[in-house]
Amino acid sequence: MDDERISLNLQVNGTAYHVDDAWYFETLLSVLRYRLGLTGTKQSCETGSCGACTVLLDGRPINSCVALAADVQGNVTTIEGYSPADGSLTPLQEALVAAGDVQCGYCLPGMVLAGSAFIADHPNATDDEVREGMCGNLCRCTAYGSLITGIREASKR
Amino acid sequence: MRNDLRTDPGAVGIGTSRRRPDAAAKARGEFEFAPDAAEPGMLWGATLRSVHPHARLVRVDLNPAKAMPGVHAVLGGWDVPDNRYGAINRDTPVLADDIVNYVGEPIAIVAADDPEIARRALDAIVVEYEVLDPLIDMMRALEDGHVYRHVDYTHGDPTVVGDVQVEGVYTTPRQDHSYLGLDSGIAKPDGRGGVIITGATQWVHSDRAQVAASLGLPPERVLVINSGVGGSFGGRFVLSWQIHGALLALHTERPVKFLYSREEAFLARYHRHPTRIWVRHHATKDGKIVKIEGKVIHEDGPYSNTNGPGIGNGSSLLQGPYNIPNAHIEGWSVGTNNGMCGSLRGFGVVEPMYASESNLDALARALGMDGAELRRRNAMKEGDTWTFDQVMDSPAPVRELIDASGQGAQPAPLADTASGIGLPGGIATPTRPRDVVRATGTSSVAKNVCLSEGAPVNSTALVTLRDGAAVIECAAAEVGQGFKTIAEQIVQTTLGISRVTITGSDSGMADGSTTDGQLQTMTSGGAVAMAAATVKERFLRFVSREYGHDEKDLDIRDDHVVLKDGTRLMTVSDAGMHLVFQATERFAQRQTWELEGRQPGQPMHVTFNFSATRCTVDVDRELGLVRVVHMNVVQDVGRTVNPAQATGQIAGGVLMGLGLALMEEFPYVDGVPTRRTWDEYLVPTMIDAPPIDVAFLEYPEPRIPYGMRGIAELPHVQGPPAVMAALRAATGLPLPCIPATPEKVADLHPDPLPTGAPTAPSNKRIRENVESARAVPGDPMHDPVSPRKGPWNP
Ligand code: FES
Ligand code: FES
Repeated sequence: MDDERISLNLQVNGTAYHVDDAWYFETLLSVLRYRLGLTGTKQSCETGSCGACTVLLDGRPINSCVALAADVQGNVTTIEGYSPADGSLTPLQEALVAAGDVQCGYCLPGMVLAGSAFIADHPNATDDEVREGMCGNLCRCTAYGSLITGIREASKR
Repeated sequence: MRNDLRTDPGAVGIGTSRRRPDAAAKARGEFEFAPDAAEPGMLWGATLRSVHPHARLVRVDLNPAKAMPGVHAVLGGWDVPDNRYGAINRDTPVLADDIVNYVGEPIAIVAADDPEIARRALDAIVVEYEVLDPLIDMMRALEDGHVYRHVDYTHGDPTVVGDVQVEGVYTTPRQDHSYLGLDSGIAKPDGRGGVIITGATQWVHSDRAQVAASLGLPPERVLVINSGVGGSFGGRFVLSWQIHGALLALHTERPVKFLYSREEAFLARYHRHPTRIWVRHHATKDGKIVKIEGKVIHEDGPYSNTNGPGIGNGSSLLQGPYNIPNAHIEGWSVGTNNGMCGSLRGFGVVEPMYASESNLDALARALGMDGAELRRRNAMKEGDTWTFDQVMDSPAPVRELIDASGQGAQPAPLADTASGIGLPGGIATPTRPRDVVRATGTSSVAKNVCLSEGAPVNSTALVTLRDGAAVIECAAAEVGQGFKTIAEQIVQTTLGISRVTITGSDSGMADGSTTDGQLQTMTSGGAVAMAAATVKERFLRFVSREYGHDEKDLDIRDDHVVLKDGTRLMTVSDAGMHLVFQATERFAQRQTWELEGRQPGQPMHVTFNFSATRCTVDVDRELGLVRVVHMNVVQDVGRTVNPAQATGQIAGGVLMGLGLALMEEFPYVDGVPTRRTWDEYLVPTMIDAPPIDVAFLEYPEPRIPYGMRGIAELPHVQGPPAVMAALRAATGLPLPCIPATPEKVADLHPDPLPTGAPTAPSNKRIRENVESARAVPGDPMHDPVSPRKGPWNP
């Protein structure tokens, strides 16, 4: 078993982490949540199908559940790093929760991070652009209406 | 977006879109959901599950796992003090003893230092199976007498015959809850022989009773604490990991965490029961329905657990929101080896409502009448009597709902230039605008609100007022539906103050009602309103004595004690002199009785809710691709406590219903589930979700504070018939089997739905009840998958 354990170096939210004794096959999601305690990144499908585990790698959204931790090179931003340190909300976060029906909210951290990358690329997005660009993020509670509205409003320049 | 749907953390009282108290924490990733929790010294639990749908356990050897380093406990069925549990019927093994009855049934559990070591320990356990034939067909189950519950009732004159008769057999699939928040939690010893279970649930008190019974402990020795719940939809009514966690925690004397993977959640947990439903409407030539006949079969898995009420709901509500004077309805809940079944949003009602609404589409066609008009003509109203002999003694504005659903804004016509997600098939679709047919359909539905047939529906709340701020304690589970927000709003309005918060929920509190049956707002919400009203009375009595006003002249408004004319006397905070004013109140819904054998005047259901929807679809007939363009939903909510939340619940529920109509299916082949990821089991994405306009009627619910009525299940009931009515209008196909996947929509040629009386089945050997269940020639109920066969296309 010992030969299946490795050490890892990760850059997360501007901090350098060294992790010993990780399994060589561990995902970035697993390392973030269970070794670094960064549980804002949500675990849900583990097959890259739902976007709940979205983090930014050098600013681009990836599904951390299908990224091998040992392979990750670059700066990882999780929801903890994205959210303002003073406890406030970014305009995107505020737009998402103001637009209406946040329910269980399990999808939200992934929605926020994927949304932040989306609006950077899509100023003044239309509803259909949001639907197309964000369709990798599932929400089971809402009908997406408020999420689409929130992202669209946050994309206004 | 309508302005009143913008949430505002500062909004106060009933009728505002007060923001959820946890919204910011959720958006910042700080809110702790059950899978996020950890405890010092915690072990990880894992579950060995059956790979066969039916087998005898010849040998289970736990020793190889026990010998592994890092493994702290390995337990089997013989380690469970009382090896049965169940939220209603205690007939489900905690761990299989000598037989396994479905793929995924737990056989053994382990606790280890690390989740990977726990998984490897499972692999080390030796299980020898003697494979047995699984029972995989619900009709076979009926023939063989695997019946959990059979109901049979008539109403009016069941011999009445209509001028026009239309019948059909309709099937609905197994549906998964697919909430995003995985089943998870931590069990830990309480240090005095008991156990503390912290995890995601929808009813802490029911969990406590079940865990205590299986462990052989008094309930007081089990504390169940609800943690952050990532969705529920009826899926956390029955225990999953909790008893396993408690057993391992007591054995190892350490906290033990369980966290199901998505695949495990698919395998281990129960699903919405698949159904086959025969329904026949009798009508006059001008479209007055004179009789309904129905036979409803629920496939309810290997253990009965919670399934009795499902068939009660289904058999009673088959009539839909219509006044039908005569009826004969039968229902069966049967057992197979195809995995556990249980409650999912709209328990037992989604399916019959789909079947009877579908048959009404066919009846409308047979009559040459518009579907909305047929429904209008038969709409139920207050004072009518349901087929199960209960007077509709609260508002039933069905005709108004149908009319209103037809009035909302229409979607823009399909542009000749539409492409990609503007067309059926979405991104990279091969469909062109000229291939697309657009049509609309109207549907109307009803659902019982609260648990029925004698189930206890009551809740207790404690409200404490001190220094002008109130705190609510109520064990009702917040699962994402928004109870906490509306509880705060109810207290704000009742007490006339703005600063109100609510605590978490655990089984050490007085009994709270379950988050099920769309009952929480009107039950726990009722308790909260009553407790706040009592606090207000006590507070004002104090003020009147202390400050010398007549109690009858006093009121509270905007955080101030005021005279009835509005003159402000002082702030609530100052008036209270740091004293504590508090009250505990229990609110109980009226008693209900079992479907059969009731005396006149004894209700079966507490109350009902109603909605109507106009749905617009675009269809590519050749490819079978469907795009739901728009839905206009109107629901009578009694009283809109929070417009943003009510809109969200209704739209979200309708979208789950759309998923069931078009894509969601969890199939079994030879007793083995074939879909275990969200790449295989599809749930609606942003592209599948149409704009959904939601409008409310507000006819207050009698007997309930503020006239509130539950809202959140009905929309799921509403989704499938609304989508399918439009799809049938676009295609002319009967489409009796959902989900209406592209192969079903594409291949068929339009055929009229079957008419005429069924003939008796030829097989004389089958039992009498089967005979009546299979009242359709050619045994179409045996072949729900292929829409080519059956009476609609012989
Ligand atoms: S958990 Fe990674 S995409 Fe779903
Ligand atoms: S709010 Fe529950 S999954 Fe999105």
